[in-house]
Amino acid sequence: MFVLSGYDYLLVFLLVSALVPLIALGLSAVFRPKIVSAFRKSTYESGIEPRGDSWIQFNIRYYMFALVFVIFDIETVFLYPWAVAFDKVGLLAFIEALIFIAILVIGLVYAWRKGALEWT
Amino acid sequence: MNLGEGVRLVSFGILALIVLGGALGVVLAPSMVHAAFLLGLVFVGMSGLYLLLNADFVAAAQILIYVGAVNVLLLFAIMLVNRRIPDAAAGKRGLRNTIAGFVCLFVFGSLVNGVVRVPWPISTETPIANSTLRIGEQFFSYYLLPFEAVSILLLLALVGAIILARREFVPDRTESGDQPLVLPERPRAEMDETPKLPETTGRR
Amino acid sequence: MLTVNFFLAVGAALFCIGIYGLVTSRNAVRVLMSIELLLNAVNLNFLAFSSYVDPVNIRGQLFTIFIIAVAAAEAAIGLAIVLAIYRNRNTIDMENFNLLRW
Repeated sequence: MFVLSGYDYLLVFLLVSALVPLIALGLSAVFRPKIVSAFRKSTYESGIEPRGDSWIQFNIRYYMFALVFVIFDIETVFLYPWAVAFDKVGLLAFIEALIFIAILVIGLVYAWRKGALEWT
Repeated sequence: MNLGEGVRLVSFGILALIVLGGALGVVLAPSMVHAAFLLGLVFVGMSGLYLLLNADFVAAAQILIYVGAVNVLLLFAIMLVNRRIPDAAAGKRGLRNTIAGFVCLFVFGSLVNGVVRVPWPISTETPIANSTLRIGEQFFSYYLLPFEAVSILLLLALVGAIILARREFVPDRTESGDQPLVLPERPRAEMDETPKLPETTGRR
Repeated sequence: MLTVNFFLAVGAALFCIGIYGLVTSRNAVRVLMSIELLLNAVNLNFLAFSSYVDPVNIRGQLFTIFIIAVAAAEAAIGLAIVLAIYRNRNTIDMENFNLLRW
Protein backbone atom coordinates (compact mmCIF):
# COMPACT_ATOMS: atom_id res chain seq x y z
CA MET A 1 0.00 0.00 0.00
CA PHE A 2 1.40 3.37 -0.97
CA VAL A 3 0.71 6.15 1.52
CA LEU A 4 3.19 8.91 0.71
CA SER A 5 1.50 11.98 -0.68
CA GLY A 6 2.82 14.64 -2.95
CA TYR A 7 5.12 12.42 -4.96
CA ASP A 8 3.11 12.83 -8.13
CA TYR A 9 4.55 16.35 -8.29
CA LEU A 10 8.03 14.86 -7.91
CA LEU A 11 7.33 12.50 -10.80
CA VAL A 12 6.18 15.33 -13.06
CA PHE A 13 9.19 17.38 -12.00
CA LEU A 14 11.55 14.52 -12.82
CA LEU A 15 9.96 13.98 -16.23
CA VAL A 16 10.17 17.68 -17.14
CA SER A 17 13.71 18.04 -15.86
CA ALA A 18 14.74 14.97 -17.84
CA LEU A 19 13.15 16.38 -20.99
CA VAL A 20 14.91 19.75 -20.84
CA PRO A 21 18.50 18.56 -21.38
CA LEU A 22 17.35 15.93 -23.86
CA ILE A 23 15.62 18.57 -25.99
CA ALA A 24 18.52 21.01 -25.69
CA LEU A 25 21.17 18.45 -26.62
CA GLY A 26 18.99 16.88 -29.32
CA LEU A 27 18.24 20.20 -31.02
CA SER A 28 21.88 21.24 -30.98
CA ALA A 29 22.84 17.82 -32.36
CA VAL A 30 20.46 18.44 -35.28
CA PHE A 31 21.59 21.98 -36.07
CA ARG A 32 25.31 22.03 -35.35
CA PRO A 33 27.84 21.77 -38.19
CA LYS A 34 29.49 18.41 -38.39
CA ILE A 35 33.24 19.06 -38.54
CA VAL A 36 35.58 16.33 -37.44
CA SER A 37 39.13 17.35 -36.66
CA ALA A 38 41.77 16.64 -34.07
CA PHE A 39 41.07 19.93 -32.30
CA ARG A 40 37.44 18.97 -31.70
CA LYS A 41 38.48 16.16 -29.38
CA SER A 42 41.11 18.06 -27.41
CA THR A 43 40.37 19.35 -23.91
CA TYR A 44 39.02 22.89 -23.70
CA GLU A 45 41.22 24.89 -21.36
CA SER A 46 39.95 28.42 -21.90
CA GLY A 47 41.89 28.83 -25.09
CA ILE A 48 45.39 27.87 -23.99
CA GLU A 49 47.09 24.71 -25.11
CA PRO A 50 46.00 21.73 -23.00
CA ARG A 51 48.85 20.21 -21.05
CA GLY A 52 48.89 16.58 -20.03
CA ASP A 53 46.05 14.20 -19.45
CA SER A 54 42.73 15.33 -18.09
CA TRP A 55 42.62 12.30 -15.80
CA ILE A 56 45.31 13.52 -13.46
CA GLN A 57 46.15 12.15 -10.07
CA PHE A 58 44.40 14.10 -7.35
CA ASN A 59 45.83 15.49 -4.17
CA ILE A 60 45.17 13.32 -1.15
CA ARG A 61 43.69 16.39 0.60
CA TYR A 62 40.53 15.89 -1.46
CA TYR A 63 40.19 12.45 0.05
CA MET A 64 40.59 13.85 3.56
CA PHE A 65 37.84 16.41 3.07
CA ALA A 66 35.52 13.82 1.53
CA LEU A 67 36.23 11.52 4.47
CA VAL A 68 35.36 14.10 7.09
CA PHE A 69 32.29 15.05 5.06
CA VAL A 70 31.08 11.42 4.95
CA ILE A 71 31.30 11.07 8.72
CA PHE A 72 29.42 14.26 9.49
CA ASP A 73 26.88 13.59 6.76
CA ILE A 74 25.94 10.40 8.60
CA GLU A 75 25.75 12.37 11.83
CA THR A 76 23.25 14.73 10.20
CA VAL A 77 21.11 11.84 9.00
CA PHE A 78 21.02 10.42 12.50
CA LEU A 79 20.17 13.72 14.15
CA TYR A 80 17.35 14.67 11.78
CA PRO A 81 14.78 12.17 13.16
CA TRP A 82 15.66 13.39 16.63
CA ALA A 83 14.82 16.94 15.57
CA VAL A 84 11.53 15.81 14.04
CA ALA A 85 10.54 13.80 17.12
CA PHE A 86 11.92 16.33 19.58
CA ASP A 87 8.56 17.08 21.22
CA LYS A 88 7.80 13.43 21.82
CA VAL A 89 11.08 12.01 23.05
CA GLY A 90 11.82 14.45 25.85
CA LEU A 91 14.79 15.47 27.96
CA LEU A 92 16.55 12.11 28.15
CA ALA A 93 16.77 12.00 24.36
CA PHE A 94 18.25 15.50 24.42
CA ILE A 95 21.04 14.29 26.71
CA GLU A 96 21.58 11.20 24.57
CA ALA A 97 21.84 13.32 21.44
CA LEU A 98 24.34 15.57 23.21
CA ILE A 99 26.44 12.48 24.02
CA PHE A 100 26.19 11.46 20.37
CA ILE A 101 27.39 14.87 19.22
CA ALA A 102 30.13 15.01 21.87
CA ILE A 103 31.62 11.71 20.75
CA LEU A 104 31.74 12.96 17.18
CA VAL A 105 33.22 16.28 18.26
CA ILE A 106 36.15 14.26 19.61
CA GLY A 107 36.61 12.96 16.07
CA LEU A 108 36.39 16.48 14.67
CA VAL A 109 39.03 17.71 17.12
CA TYR A 110 41.26 14.78 16.19
CA ALA A 111 40.88 15.51 12.48
CA TRP A 112 41.63 19.16 13.14
CA ARG A 113 44.74 18.43 15.22
CA LYS A 114 46.05 15.97 12.65
CA GLY A 115 45.70 18.57 9.93
CA ALA A 116 43.05 16.79 7.90
CA LEU A 117 41.15 20.06 7.55
CA GLU A 118 44.07 22.15 6.29
CA TRP A 119 44.53 22.82 2.65
CA THR A 120 48.25 23.41 2.33
CA MET B 1 -3.31 13.15 -4.19
CA ASN B 2 -1.49 9.91 -4.67
CA LEU B 3 0.28 7.95 -7.31
CA GLY B 4 -1.93 5.48 -9.14
CA GLU B 5 -1.32 1.78 -9.29
CA GLY B 6 -0.30 1.75 -12.95
CA VAL B 7 2.06 4.70 -12.51
CA ARG B 8 3.77 2.89 -9.65
CA LEU B 9 4.12 -0.31 -11.66
CA VAL B 10 5.65 1.54 -14.61
CA SER B 11 8.03 3.50 -12.39
CA PHE B 12 9.02 0.27 -10.64
CA GLY B 13 9.90 -1.24 -14.01
CA ILE B 14 11.94 1.78 -15.09
CA LEU B 15 13.73 1.99 -11.74
CA ALA B 16 14.50 -1.74 -11.74
CA LEU B 17 15.93 -1.42 -15.25
CA ILE B 18 18.08 1.56 -14.17
CA VAL B 19 19.31 -0.23 -11.05
CA LEU B 20 20.11 -3.57 -12.68
CA GLY B 21 21.60 -2.06 -15.85
CA GLY B 22 23.69 0.34 -13.80
CA ALA B 23 24.85 -2.48 -11.54
CA LEU B 24 25.92 -4.51 -14.57
CA GLY B 25 27.80 -1.43 -15.80
CA VAL B 26 29.51 -1.04 -12.41
CA VAL B 27 30.75 -4.60 -12.57
CA LEU B 28 31.63 -4.78 -16.27
CA ALA B 29 32.65 -1.26 -17.35
CA PRO B 30 36.30 -1.12 -18.39
CA SER B 31 36.82 2.39 -17.02
CA MET B 32 36.75 2.82 -13.27
CA VAL B 33 35.47 6.40 -13.54
CA HIS B 34 32.49 5.27 -15.61
CA ALA B 35 31.86 2.51 -13.09
CA ALA B 36 31.79 5.06 -10.26
CA PHE B 37 29.29 7.31 -12.07
CA LEU B 38 27.12 4.31 -12.88
CA LEU B 39 27.25 3.41 -9.19
CA GLY B 40 25.81 6.84 -8.46
CA LEU B 41 23.01 6.10 -10.95
CA VAL B 42 22.33 2.81 -9.15
CA PHE B 43 22.10 4.65 -5.83
CA VAL B 44 19.61 7.16 -7.23
CA GLY B 45 17.49 4.36 -8.68
CA MET B 46 17.57 2.54 -5.36
CA SER B 47 16.29 5.63 -3.60
CA GLY B 48 13.40 5.72 -6.07
CA LEU B 49 12.59 2.11 -5.17
CA TYR B 50 12.71 3.07 -1.49
CA LEU B 51 10.13 5.78 -2.18
CA LEU B 52 7.84 3.16 -3.71
CA LEU B 53 8.14 1.28 -0.40
CA ASN B 54 6.92 4.26 1.69
CA ALA B 55 10.41 4.92 3.06
CA ASP B 56 10.82 8.61 2.31
CA PHE B 57 13.37 9.31 5.03
CA VAL B 58 15.55 6.38 4.01
CA ALA B 59 15.35 7.50 0.38
CA ALA B 60 16.59 10.96 1.36
CA ALA B 61 19.33 9.42 3.52
CA GLN B 62 20.36 7.23 0.59
CA ILE B 63 20.73 10.27 -1.67
CA LEU B 64 22.54 12.25 1.03
CA ILE B 65 25.00 9.60 2.15
CA TYR B 66 25.53 7.39 -0.86
CA VAL B 67 25.27 9.79 -3.78
CA GLY B 68 26.48 12.86 -1.91
CA ALA B 69 29.30 11.40 0.14
CA VAL B 70 30.29 7.79 -0.55
CA ASN B 71 30.27 8.18 -4.32
CA VAL B 72 32.38 11.33 -4.11
CA LEU B 73 34.79 9.50 -1.81
CA LEU B 74 35.01 6.65 -4.32
CA LEU B 75 35.69 9.08 -7.16
CA PHE B 76 38.47 10.81 -5.22
CA ALA B 77 40.01 7.44 -4.37
CA ILE B 78 39.86 6.44 -8.04
CA MET B 79 41.55 9.69 -9.00
CA LEU B 80 44.24 9.03 -6.40
CA VAL B 81 45.05 5.55 -7.63
CA ASN B 82 44.23 6.10 -11.28
CA ARG B 83 46.39 3.59 -13.04
CA ARG B 84 45.56 1.04 -15.66
CA ILE B 85 46.14 -2.53 -14.60
CA PRO B 86 47.87 -4.48 -17.35
CA ASP B 87 45.62 -7.36 -18.19
CA ALA B 88 48.02 -10.24 -17.77
CA ALA B 89 46.14 -13.52 -17.58
CA ALA B 90 43.19 -12.62 -19.77
CA GLY B 91 42.59 -16.13 -21.12
CA LYS B 92 42.47 -17.75 -17.73
CA ARG B 93 40.25 -14.99 -16.39
CA GLY B 94 37.72 -15.52 -19.18
CA LEU B 95 37.10 -19.08 -18.06
CA ARG B 96 37.01 -18.04 -14.41
CA ASN B 97 34.55 -15.25 -15.09
CA THR B 98 32.28 -17.59 -17.04
CA ILE B 99 32.22 -20.05 -14.16
CA ALA B 100 31.55 -17.23 -11.69
CA GLY B 101 28.72 -15.97 -13.91
CA PHE B 102 27.06 -19.38 -13.99
CA VAL B 103 27.39 -19.75 -10.24
CA CYS B 104 25.79 -16.32 -9.75
CA LEU B 105 22.96 -17.22 -12.13
CA PHE B 106 22.39 -20.40 -10.14
CA VAL B 107 22.31 -18.43 -6.88
CA PHE B 108 19.86 -15.98 -8.45
CA GLY B 109 17.62 -18.80 -9.64
CA SER B 110 17.52 -20.46 -6.24
CA LEU B 111 16.85 -17.12 -4.52
CA VAL B 112 13.93 -16.32 -6.84
CA ASN B 113 12.64 -19.86 -6.36
CA GLY B 114 12.67 -19.32 -2.62
CA VAL B 115 11.03 -15.90 -2.91
CA VAL B 116 8.16 -17.23 -5.00
CA ARG B 117 7.52 -20.32 -2.89
CA VAL B 118 7.50 -18.83 0.59
CA PRO B 119 4.09 -17.43 1.63
CA TRP B 120 5.12 -14.12 3.18
CA PRO B 121 2.97 -12.97 6.12
CA ILE B 122 1.75 -9.83 4.36
CA SER B 123 0.30 -7.35 6.82
CA THR B 124 -3.03 -5.71 6.05
CA GLU B 125 -2.49 -2.69 8.28
CA THR B 126 -2.21 0.74 6.73
CA PRO B 127 1.42 1.91 6.65
CA ILE B 128 2.10 4.98 8.73
CA ALA B 129 2.66 8.09 6.68
CA ASN B 130 5.01 10.00 8.99
CA SER B 131 7.90 7.59 9.01
CA THR B 132 10.53 10.13 10.08
CA LEU B 133 8.71 10.80 13.35
CA ARG B 134 8.36 7.07 14.00
CA ILE B 135 12.07 6.55 13.31
CA GLY B 136 12.94 9.33 15.74
CA GLU B 137 10.76 7.78 18.45
CA GLN B 138 12.30 4.36 17.92
CA PHE B 139 15.84 5.74 17.99
CA PHE B 140 15.31 6.96 21.53
CA SER B 141 13.31 4.03 22.87
CA TYR B 142 14.25 0.57 21.63
CA TYR B 143 17.28 1.45 19.55
CA LEU B 144 19.09 3.82 21.89
CA LEU B 145 22.16 1.63 22.34
CA PRO B 146 22.73 1.11 18.59
CA PHE B 147 22.24 4.85 18.14
CA GLU B 148 25.09 5.59 20.55
CA ALA B 149 27.17 2.75 19.13
CA VAL B 150 26.94 4.39 15.72
CA SER B 151 28.68 7.48 17.08
CA ILE B 152 31.52 5.32 18.44
CA LEU B 153 31.72 3.54 15.08
CA LEU B 154 31.90 6.83 13.20
CA LEU B 155 34.58 8.13 15.56
CA LEU B 156 36.66 5.00 15.04
CA ALA B 157 36.15 5.14 11.27
CA LEU B 158 37.22 8.78 11.15
CA VAL B 159 40.33 8.26 13.28
CA GLY B 160 41.30 5.02 11.54
CA ALA B 161 40.84 6.37 8.04
CA ILE B 162 42.85 9.49 8.85
CA ILE B 163 45.70 7.40 10.28
CA LEU B 164 45.67 5.10 7.27
CA ALA B 165 45.42 7.77 4.60
CA ARG B 166 47.24 10.69 6.17
CA ARG B 167 50.85 9.89 5.38
CA GLU B 168 51.86 11.65 2.21
CA PHE B 169 53.61 10.00 -0.65
CA VAL B 170 57.23 9.55 0.33
CA PRO B 171 59.10 12.43 -1.32
CA ASP B 172 61.99 11.56 -3.58
CA ARG B 173 65.38 12.37 -2.10
CA THR B 174 67.52 14.86 -3.91
CA GLU B 175 71.23 14.36 -4.58
CA SER B 176 72.65 16.89 -2.13
CA GLY B 177 70.70 15.54 0.81
CA ASP B 178 70.56 18.82 2.71
CA GLN B 179 67.45 19.97 0.89
CA PRO B 180 64.48 20.20 3.21
CA LEU B 181 61.93 17.46 2.76
CA VAL B 182 59.28 18.81 0.45
CA LEU B 183 55.83 17.37 0.19
CA PRO B 184 55.08 16.44 -3.38
CA GLU B 185 51.65 18.01 -3.38
CA ARG B 186 52.87 21.57 -3.18
CA PRO B 187 51.26 24.28 -5.23
CA ARG B 188 52.76 24.79 -8.63
CA ALA B 189 54.12 28.27 -7.81
CA GLU B 190 56.26 26.88 -5.01
CA MET B 191 57.45 24.06 -7.23
CA ASP B 192 58.66 26.59 -9.79
CA GLU B 193 60.74 28.44 -7.20
CA THR B 194 62.88 25.37 -6.52
CA PRO B 195 63.49 23.88 -9.92
CA LYS B 196 66.09 21.38 -8.67
CA LEU B 197 63.42 19.32 -6.98
CA PRO B 198 62.20 16.34 -8.95
CA GLU B 199 58.75 16.61 -10.41
CA THR B 200 56.64 14.35 -8.30
CA THR B 201 53.18 15.72 -8.84
CA GLY B 202 52.80 14.04 -12.18
CA ARG B 203 53.32 10.53 -10.87
CA ARG B 204 50.69 8.29 -12.32
CA MET C 1 -0.20 -4.80 -8.73
CA LEU C 2 3.15 -4.44 -7.04
CA THR C 3 3.83 -7.23 -4.58
CA VAL C 4 6.71 -7.90 -2.24
CA ASN C 5 8.05 -10.52 -4.66
CA PHE C 6 8.94 -7.88 -7.25
CA PHE C 7 11.21 -6.03 -4.86
CA LEU C 8 12.72 -9.24 -3.53
CA ALA C 9 13.52 -10.36 -7.08
CA VAL C 10 15.25 -7.06 -7.86
CA GLY C 11 17.16 -7.37 -4.59
CA ALA C 12 18.22 -10.92 -5.46
CA ALA C 13 19.40 -9.86 -8.92
CA LEU C 14 21.35 -6.93 -7.50
CA PHE C 15 22.91 -9.23 -4.90
CA CYS C 16 24.03 -11.70 -7.55
CA ILE C 17 25.51 -8.94 -9.72
CA GLY C 18 27.38 -7.71 -6.66
CA ILE C 19 28.66 -11.21 -5.89
CA TYR C 20 29.86 -11.54 -9.48
CA GLY C 21 31.73 -8.24 -9.27
CA LEU C 22 33.18 -9.17 -5.89
CA VAL C 23 34.55 -12.46 -7.20
CA THR C 24 35.82 -11.38 -10.61
CA SER C 25 37.18 -7.85 -10.07
CA ARG C 26 40.91 -7.35 -9.83
CA ASN C 27 40.69 -3.66 -9.06
CA ALA C 28 40.38 -3.15 -5.30
CA VAL C 29 38.15 -0.08 -5.69
CA ARG C 30 35.74 -2.04 -7.86
CA VAL C 31 35.59 -4.70 -5.17
CA LEU C 32 34.50 -2.01 -2.70
CA MET C 33 31.86 -0.84 -5.20
CA SER C 34 30.55 -4.40 -5.44
CA ILE C 35 30.28 -4.54 -1.67
CA GLU C 36 28.19 -1.37 -1.81
CA LEU C 37 25.91 -3.08 -4.35
CA LEU C 38 25.52 -6.05 -2.00
CA LEU C 39 24.62 -3.80 0.91
CA ASN C 40 22.08 -1.97 -1.25
CA ALA C 41 20.46 -5.27 -2.19
CA VAL C 42 20.18 -6.13 1.51
CA ASN C 43 18.68 -2.70 2.20
CA LEU C 44 16.08 -3.23 -0.50
CA ASN C 45 15.05 -6.51 1.13
CA PHE C 46 14.79 -4.88 4.54
CA LEU C 47 12.63 -2.08 3.19
CA ALA C 48 10.40 -4.44 1.20
CA PHE C 49 9.68 -6.45 4.33
CA SER C 50 9.33 -3.27 6.36
CA SER C 51 6.65 -2.00 4.01
CA TYR C 52 4.74 -5.22 3.41
CA VAL C 53 5.14 -7.20 6.65
CA ASP C 54 5.78 -4.63 9.39
CA PRO C 55 4.23 -1.39 8.13
CA VAL C 56 3.47 0.18 11.52
CA ASN C 57 6.69 -0.25 13.47
CA ILE C 58 8.90 0.07 10.34
CA ARG C 59 11.82 -1.66 12.03
CA GLY C 60 13.21 -2.44 8.57
CA GLN C 61 13.76 1.26 7.95
CA LEU C 62 15.74 1.57 11.18
CA PHE C 63 17.90 -1.39 10.23
CA THR C 64 18.44 0.17 6.82
CA ILE C 65 19.65 3.43 8.31
CA PHE C 66 22.11 1.58 10.52
CA ILE C 67 23.30 -0.45 7.53
CA ILE C 68 23.79 2.73 5.50
CA ALA C 69 25.89 4.23 8.31
CA VAL C 70 28.00 1.09 8.64
CA ALA C 71 28.41 0.87 4.86
CA ALA C 72 29.64 4.45 4.63
CA ALA C 73 32.14 3.87 7.46
CA GLU C 74 33.23 0.67 5.72
CA ALA C 75 33.74 2.51 2.44
CA ALA C 76 35.83 5.21 4.14
CA ILE C 77 38.05 2.67 5.92
CA GLY C 78 38.27 0.36 2.90
CA LEU C 79 39.34 3.15 0.57
CA ALA C 80 41.90 4.35 3.12
CA ILE C 81 43.32 0.82 3.23
CA VAL C 82 43.42 0.75 -0.58
CA LEU C 83 45.27 4.08 -0.58
CA ALA C 84 47.77 2.78 2.02
CA ILE C 85 48.41 -0.37 -0.02
CA TYR C 86 48.78 1.71 -3.18
CA ARG C 87 51.33 3.90 -1.44
CA ASN C 88 53.40 0.96 -0.24
CA ARG C 89 53.11 -1.49 -3.12
CA ASN C 90 52.21 0.87 -5.99
CA THR C 91 49.37 -1.31 -7.21
CA ILE C 92 45.68 -1.87 -6.51
CA ASP C 93 45.49 -5.25 -8.22
CA MET C 94 43.79 -7.67 -5.86
CA GLU C 95 46.05 -10.52 -6.97
CA ASN C 96 49.11 -8.67 -5.71
CA PHE C 97 47.68 -8.25 -2.22
CA ASN C 98 49.35 -11.43 -1.03
CA LEU C 99 51.43 -10.34 1.93
CA LEU C 100 49.37 -12.51 4.27
CA ARG C 101 49.39 -15.52 2.01
CA TRP C 102 51.44 -18.49 3.15
